[in-house]
Amino acid sequence: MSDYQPVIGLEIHVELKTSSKMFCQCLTNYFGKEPNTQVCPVCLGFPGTLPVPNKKAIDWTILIGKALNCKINNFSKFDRKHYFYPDLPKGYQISQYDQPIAKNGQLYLLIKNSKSKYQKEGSKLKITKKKFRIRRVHLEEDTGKLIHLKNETLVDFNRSGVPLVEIVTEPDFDNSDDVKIFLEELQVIIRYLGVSDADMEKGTMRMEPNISIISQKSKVKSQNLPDYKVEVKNINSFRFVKQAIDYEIKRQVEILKKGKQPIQETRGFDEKKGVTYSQRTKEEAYDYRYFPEPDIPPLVFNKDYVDSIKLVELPSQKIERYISQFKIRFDDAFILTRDKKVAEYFETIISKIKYQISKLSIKNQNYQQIIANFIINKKISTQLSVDEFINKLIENLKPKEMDKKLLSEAIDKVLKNNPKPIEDYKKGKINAIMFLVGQVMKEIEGKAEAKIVREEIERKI
Amino acid sequence: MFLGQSLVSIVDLINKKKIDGKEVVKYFLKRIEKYNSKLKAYLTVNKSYKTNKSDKLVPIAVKDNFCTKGIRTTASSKLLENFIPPYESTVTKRLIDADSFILGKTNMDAWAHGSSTETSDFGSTKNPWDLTRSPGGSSGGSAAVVSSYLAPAAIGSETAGSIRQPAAWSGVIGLKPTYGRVSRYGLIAMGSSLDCPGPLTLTTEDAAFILQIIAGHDKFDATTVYKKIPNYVFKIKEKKKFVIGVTDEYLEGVDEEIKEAFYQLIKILKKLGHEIKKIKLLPPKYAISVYTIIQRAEVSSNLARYDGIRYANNRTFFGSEAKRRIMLGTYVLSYGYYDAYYKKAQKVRTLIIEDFKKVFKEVDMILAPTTPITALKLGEFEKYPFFGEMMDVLNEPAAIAGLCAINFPFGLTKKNNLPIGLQLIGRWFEEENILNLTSQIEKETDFLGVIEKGLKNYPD
Amino acid sequence: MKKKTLTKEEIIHLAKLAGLNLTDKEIKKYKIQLMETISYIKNLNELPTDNIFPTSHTTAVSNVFFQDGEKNTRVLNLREVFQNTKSKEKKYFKVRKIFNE
Repeated sequence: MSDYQPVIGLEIHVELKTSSKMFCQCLTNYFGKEPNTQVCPVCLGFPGTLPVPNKKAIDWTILIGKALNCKINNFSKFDRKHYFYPDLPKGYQISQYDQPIAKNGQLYLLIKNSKSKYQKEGSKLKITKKKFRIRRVHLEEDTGKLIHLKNETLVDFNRSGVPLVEIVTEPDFDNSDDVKIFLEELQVIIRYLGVSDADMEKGTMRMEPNISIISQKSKVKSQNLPDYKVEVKNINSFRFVKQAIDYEIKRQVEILKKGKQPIQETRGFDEKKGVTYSQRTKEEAYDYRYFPEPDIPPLVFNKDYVDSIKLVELPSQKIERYISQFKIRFDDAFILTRDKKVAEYFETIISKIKYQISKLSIKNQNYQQIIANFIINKKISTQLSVDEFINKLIENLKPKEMDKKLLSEAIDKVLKNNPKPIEDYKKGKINAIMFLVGQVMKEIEGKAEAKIVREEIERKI
Repeated sequence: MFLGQSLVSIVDLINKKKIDGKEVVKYFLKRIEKYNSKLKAYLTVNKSYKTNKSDKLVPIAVKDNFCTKGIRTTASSKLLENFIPPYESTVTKRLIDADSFILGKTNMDAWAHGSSTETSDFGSTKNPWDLTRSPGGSSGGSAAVVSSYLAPAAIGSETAGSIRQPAAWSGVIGLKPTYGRVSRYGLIAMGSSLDCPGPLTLTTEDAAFILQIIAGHDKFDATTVYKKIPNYVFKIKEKKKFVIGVTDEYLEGVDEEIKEAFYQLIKILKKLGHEIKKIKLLPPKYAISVYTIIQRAEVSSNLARYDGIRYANNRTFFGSEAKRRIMLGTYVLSYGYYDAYYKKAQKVRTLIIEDFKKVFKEVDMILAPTTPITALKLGEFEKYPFFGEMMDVLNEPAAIAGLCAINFPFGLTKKNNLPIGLQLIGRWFEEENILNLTSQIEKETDFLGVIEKGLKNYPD
Repeated sequence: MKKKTLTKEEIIHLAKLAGLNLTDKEIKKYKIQLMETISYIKNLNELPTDNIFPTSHTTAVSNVFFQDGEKNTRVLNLREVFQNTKSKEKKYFKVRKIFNE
């Protein structure tokens, strides 16, 4: 396998949850609506109609670009991309070609135990910071939806014209795990920005990997990029992303091993069988005859405009802050930051509880980590208001007052039933006492502090 | 009502309740019944005035590439033969809101591809001055309607010459506003960066009046501008003197009698106190190439939506001119050729615009013939693969630059008794100036009696 | 610019891109006509344009937008959506079967 290195790039589409469509005022919430009821002459491509761009869609594209550390172009424009298909009413899609809104960004991922060539030998819990470059972020309109029946195909234009952001990465990935982590992080970022639900099952986030393999032999010939690529479509959940990519890598390696070259093509993914299958050969790129959209004047993004679009604190920034400021573990910070609402809930508790620290009996312990634990382990419900949570927390952390008599009885019972550990302890195996503590804790249903139980046992022995 | 009465005076009478709008409509419907089958100027006649709630119906004809809600709109193509738009174009909406009644939809070159109206899938309109000749195009139907008074005024559209040229050949006034002055929403697109709706009329005041109604920013058309709309009707009456540019480049290959009319007008303008200045402009032949490339590229794109699924017939219904233009347009945008043709054309377009900017520092407007020749006999256009573009050589530069321009009739040829058209090309968004001078010429010369003479052929 | 003739294959390819079905006669006709037009429009090479920016819009406007959430005054009812087509099935437009990608 080391002779063959996968080269993977991603193309991700994100449907923006603006109120109105990209070029007209029709509503975008088409999910579950009767077909062809959220349409107008513009998004149906009627003769004589003209597009006017939705400002929010443009602002949100800039926002996504900023979140991905891209450069926002000073000048941008829309272009027409021509092809014929029943779900494309104008016979062209209004998209962006050579002057996208954002370009040349990157996303840093914190990856544990990465299975890639970057992983050092013999290291265990290694957290690597990997960079994946973003080639471009651009804005376009979505097409209508096709429903394939036995003898005909039906078209619903409710989705036609919904704003769609396309994110293209450089082919920086070399394994499916990284791809999955990247997509999950991207999804969290998009949701943090509040611009899309980014749901793969509902189709508000779609992705297509481009996969090729470069063999060490061709690398020696100083070719750094393979001269073919296979696009895989129809991957509908994160679950299948890894499967599809791994299958495709394996398939291509097998072909290369036979001394042949995989065909440049588009393949579909069959989720039931877990395989990719050929759809159409992409020997030469289709000629879309791009030219600047004459119906829409150019976009000019000066510094003031770009500055006015404010980023929120992103998940990776929160993680770094939680680790450095709150001293909580990476894994816990990661979990807390997957959902912005949970993260903000956590932060609110932390800031409010500052005034009540004295009430927590946690001597020398990290109260932020404790709160994190309580949230992650669901010991206290996050459905409670912040104040209720804090109250419950304080209650939970109170040292447990146990009935001395009951404790004594329980200890006696355990000691009676477990003579061997007592012997071991007396012989010097200090840890044998932990077993006894555990048994007592079970007996009293955890209603006392483990420390106190241990002290009592030691006293009794 | 009398033959040749101006739109403004009809409006005045209706507003003062001296006539009923319905009577006015009936008057024109009678004339249409009398003459339209001969002229084939209208494709669709709207007789629904009886059920109209208003009594203030000011009749106007509209070129058949404007989407009129509930009224068939075909762009003179069999592909749209039965198309009934479910929405109203901005231009017709503004007219209707101003008490207009759409008398009917006028014939045109199919998809506006042409300069003679002969590419109409429903047969050509005849020139009211000579039924064996073309009225010009693509707004030939609108020009013929006004010329023969089958409506007091008409709306046309111009991509490069499609208002001015038929106005010239049919002996009426035709105004092409600045690109971006009038909304294209609802106008079946031909050349998106070039198309301009505009009026064809018998008087300058009528042109100003209609422009007043239809001009202005439209939120449904991102290419319209927020520029203030002057009171055109008021502005044309101002006593202004202008510096008028003339250039030899625009006289090359022009018919002798047209040149004579041109020189005759120059004398009159000097007499009226205007300054005539010689200017130099890029030879118009480059504009033909620029226009052919850009227009056909945009055409090939704008006609991509006609797949016959959501409306209309399928693509096999395109006529040969449409197919030819789509092919050339696809070619110049195709992979490997984009830079050499389309991008190059857009660059030369910049040169043409800069050329005009330079000239307009020295002059207020440019006077030139509108067409090199007068109305051709029907059938002659077939000789040329890019006939339209060649015929509009004097109109293309201004169209490419997006300038405003107006054709007005100035005499008839002795040879064939056909109207001669001259044009004024004005600065961007200064329609009031070219309208003003046209009005002065009208007052001074009555356009050498052309309009009156033309109407005589079409008595009530 | 080097002299170039359009081949029949190129015409067929263009027609396909353009969504047009041409007869053999039309292919021959358009081949000749396109060549004539192309040879004319090459006169643009006489004008130097090395540092010139292409013009896509003749008005000097930029950043024309509409505000998200504006009232939709153009929504069509089902009758209006379908009044110009015969290829419909219940509330959908209907086309010939497209084989699953």
